[in-house]
Amino acid sequence: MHQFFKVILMQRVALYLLGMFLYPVAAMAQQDTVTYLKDRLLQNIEVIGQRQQQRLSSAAPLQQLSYKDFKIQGITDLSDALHRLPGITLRDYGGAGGMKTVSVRGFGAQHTSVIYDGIALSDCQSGQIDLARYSLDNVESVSLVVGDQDEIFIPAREVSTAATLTIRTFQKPNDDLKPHLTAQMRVGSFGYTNPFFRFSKNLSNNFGIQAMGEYIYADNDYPFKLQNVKVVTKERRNNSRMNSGHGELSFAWTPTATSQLDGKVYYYDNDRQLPGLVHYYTNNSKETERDRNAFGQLAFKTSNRNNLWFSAKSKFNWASSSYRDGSYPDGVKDQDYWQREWYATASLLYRPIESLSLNYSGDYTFNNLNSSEPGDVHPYRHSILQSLTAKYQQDRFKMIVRGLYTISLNDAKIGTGAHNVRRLSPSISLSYQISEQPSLHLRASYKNIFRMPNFTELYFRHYGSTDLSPENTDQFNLGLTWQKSYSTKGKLTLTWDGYWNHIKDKIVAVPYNMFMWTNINVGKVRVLGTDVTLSIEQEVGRKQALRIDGNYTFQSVSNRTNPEASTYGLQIAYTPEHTGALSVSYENPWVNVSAHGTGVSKRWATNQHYDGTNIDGYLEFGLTAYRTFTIKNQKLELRGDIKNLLNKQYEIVGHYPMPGRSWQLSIMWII
Amino acid sequence: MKKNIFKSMLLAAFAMGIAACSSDPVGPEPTPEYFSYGAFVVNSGNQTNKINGTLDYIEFGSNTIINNVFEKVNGRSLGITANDAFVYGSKLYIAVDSEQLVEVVDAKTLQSLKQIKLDGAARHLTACEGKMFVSSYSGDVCRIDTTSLTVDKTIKVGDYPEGMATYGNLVFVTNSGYGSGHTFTVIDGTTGNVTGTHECPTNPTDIVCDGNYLYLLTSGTYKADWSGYEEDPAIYRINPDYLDFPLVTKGTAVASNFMKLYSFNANYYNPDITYRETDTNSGMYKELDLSKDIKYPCAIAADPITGHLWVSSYNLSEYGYADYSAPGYIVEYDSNMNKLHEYNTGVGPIAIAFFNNLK
Repeated sequence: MHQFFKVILMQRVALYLLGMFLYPVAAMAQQDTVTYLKDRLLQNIEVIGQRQQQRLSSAAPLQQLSYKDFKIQGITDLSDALHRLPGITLRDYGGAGGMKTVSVRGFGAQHTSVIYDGIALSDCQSGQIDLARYSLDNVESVSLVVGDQDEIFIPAREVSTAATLTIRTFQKPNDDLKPHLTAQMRVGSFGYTNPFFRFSKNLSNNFGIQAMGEYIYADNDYPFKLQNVKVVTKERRNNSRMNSGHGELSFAWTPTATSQLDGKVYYYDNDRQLPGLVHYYTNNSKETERDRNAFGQLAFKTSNRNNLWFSAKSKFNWASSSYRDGSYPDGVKDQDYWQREWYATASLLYRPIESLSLNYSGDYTFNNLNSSEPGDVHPYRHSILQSLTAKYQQDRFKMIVRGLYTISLNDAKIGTGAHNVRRLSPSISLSYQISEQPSLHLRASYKNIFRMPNFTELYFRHYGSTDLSPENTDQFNLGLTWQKSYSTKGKLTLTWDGYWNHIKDKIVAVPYNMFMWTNINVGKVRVLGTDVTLSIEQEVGRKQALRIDGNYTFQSVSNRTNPEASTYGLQIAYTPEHTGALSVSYENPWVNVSAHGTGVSKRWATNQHYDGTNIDGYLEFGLTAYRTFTIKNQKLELRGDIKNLLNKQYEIVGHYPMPGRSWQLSIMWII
Repeated sequence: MKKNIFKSMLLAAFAMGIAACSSDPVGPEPTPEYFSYGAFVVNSGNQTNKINGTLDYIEFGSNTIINNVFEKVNGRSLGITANDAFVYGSKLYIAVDSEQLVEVVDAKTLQSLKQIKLDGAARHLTACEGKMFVSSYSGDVCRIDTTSLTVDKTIKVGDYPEGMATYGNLVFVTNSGYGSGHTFTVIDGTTGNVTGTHECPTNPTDIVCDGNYLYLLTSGTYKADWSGYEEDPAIYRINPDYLDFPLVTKGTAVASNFMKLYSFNANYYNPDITYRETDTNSGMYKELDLSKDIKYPCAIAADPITGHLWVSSYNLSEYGYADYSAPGYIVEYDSNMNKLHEYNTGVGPIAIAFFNNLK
């Protein structure tokens, strides 16, 4: 066991930059014994094994997908990856340029935080992250935790939401001094062109750098069928072109075996046309939007080689969006927004005895938002988050108890700021291993958390209200994970979770009249749901394996606001009752293939379930084939994808049709 | 003076209308009979909630409403965000804002005759000198030939033109400027030429005629920190010199009948909605107690033949505010404000157009 941890720890230090603390504390305690191991293949196997173990023993529901899973399961982009996870409701406005947001277990999208290389992404304006900005090519793994993850040595901000999506990009390989290059070209339907490169090199034994860049061009002018009562017409998306680039520069410095400093600068620029919602008789959109985002971050960690670990991180983030509507040349509808964030966090982990770990994390964030809107009050916010966490792990039992104390100080340069908020949020998670073989774990968790109103809800002209309070949530989860290796050649994994969530003081926009709106804390939502996942790995011959991954979610997300109202008890808008995904993959020495499908049941566009506002459910299928050729020390990989194989016309958001059948081809070269 | 000629014409028409309603015998000369067949209700729908615009028809003979009648007859939707309707001759014209078109249907059969496409959002309609006029957010008023059903002239007006009214052979167009406009444009209905553009109170959005004067509705302006109105939404009389605009009453919507104005004030910072009938001849007004029937008013219209008042309303959401994605309703009152009927409409009953034989 000791030796096993050594390998894992070595893997962490050697391969990953700071900030990615996914491994059990037990592993971290061995940091002083690190030695470098050169057999990277072995390491990877260990890591995958370790991850799976983590998923099973996690006290809160945890789902993970690695770069390898993306290939095996035929996953093409981040939203596709999230489709393969249970409990997820995706909002997708269609096509490569369409905004994509994710909500988990009936909470709104603003209750999910997205962690990118160890530090949360933020958007104080809308409170939600557009996942269409993050391509998968540079992503090493994606994981989703609902509630509190097992790793407790994390910033306070990372525990401040109901669910956390963690994106980890590829880090530089650290085991040689040679240059490494990955170059890829991907082309696809509707003018999709996406060159990508990643270069990394260690300049010395303890200092390495990496650069990556990508560019995406897409016309996005996909055809769709428009159902107009009894009339069906064939149309095409118009004014939908996008030009997007993204680059990152990062470094990692390991001055001693127990300390590490790394950093990253990031830039994203997306200049695109907005096709808008589909009309029946006109296709005359002239809207455009340019989104830019730049950030720089630094992370440092160290330990006393015994029982104390320290970590500090900081980030500066700048984002802007410029909306233009060419239909109104006088600029009356144009909008520009600029937001800034300063962020710093420090964490201390103390492990007085083998079975107990204690963590204190303190975070400070400053956000501000400026806009070209008349009457903009230039709002800003100071957030101070502190978390105190205890983790107790003995034999088969694990318990994590946490208190998070949030102070949110709100003000505006001109005019009135929102209320300040001070609040304590408790959470507890438990896990107990009932049996070892087959592996059976029981888990239970409770978390109370809230989200602050975003700046749009607070301050947007004729819409926001500074009187808003946070939206409060409670979540209870009870789950079982089970895994059996039924021979040396096969393995079956099943997980089940049942949950009860409650949202109160839900922020709802209400109209004074058609043009004057405000936001109030009024809504109540109850979520009853269950998630089931299944995974089968079966060797079917020499170097041949069959893999089946599936999940199913049932969610009753019902409105509990007003028992007198006709909407009481109805499923809230845009939440399906049933969602599921299944992929069947065959790995072999010739061509790896995967067939996969996702399904979502009927949804309503309105809380009232008004006649005609239902959005039909859909089943979408895809096919993926890839093969890797090894030529000396170089690798060439060819991959082809067919998306929406049956050319099913469907919508995720009303009046925003999704593309029909399309294809993608990619060629990747690794030196 | 043209206006005076028109005034006397209108007076005659209204007088005949009133005569038609009277049960007394009217002498040997047969008087032409004026009557209303029914009323069309345009429902805007709600584009963000995937609710299309619809058309309802209320038949006066049977006092029944047929909902979603355009779709039922034509097998296709009116489109997203219907905004206004106008019956002229045997045809009904419907302005569909987001579809940037005017849908022309046969007023009796409701069969679609033509979709007339514009360059911007289609806002409001009026008729003058045998032609239809539609205001468009392209900054134009388009003149529609009622026979060929094509735009035969595009007339440049101010920014974001909204409601219009006809007075004699003149068409009056409000230039809202998307909240910041302060002019109205006058078009000669015969030639289609602009005869003048005149200053007026800020943010004019509608204009009505009581057979004597024109009245301008402004939707107000907000304070810099938008904590309230800088200028309240109000109704002003347009004096014939176009220079003076005496305040008639505060209000957010207005309808006219002969020498009468009906208005309501659904002011965003004031939860009490008031309804008012103003006698434009005497300047006297009386408050109407419609709040018992109307949850949150949407549109108001007076039937020129029967003198009945029609007020459409939203229903309230579970939160107690107007629900813009639920079906609304419309209430018919007689001229003494007795409630006669109530009909359930589509979502957002934003405009009412009477179908009668009064041209």
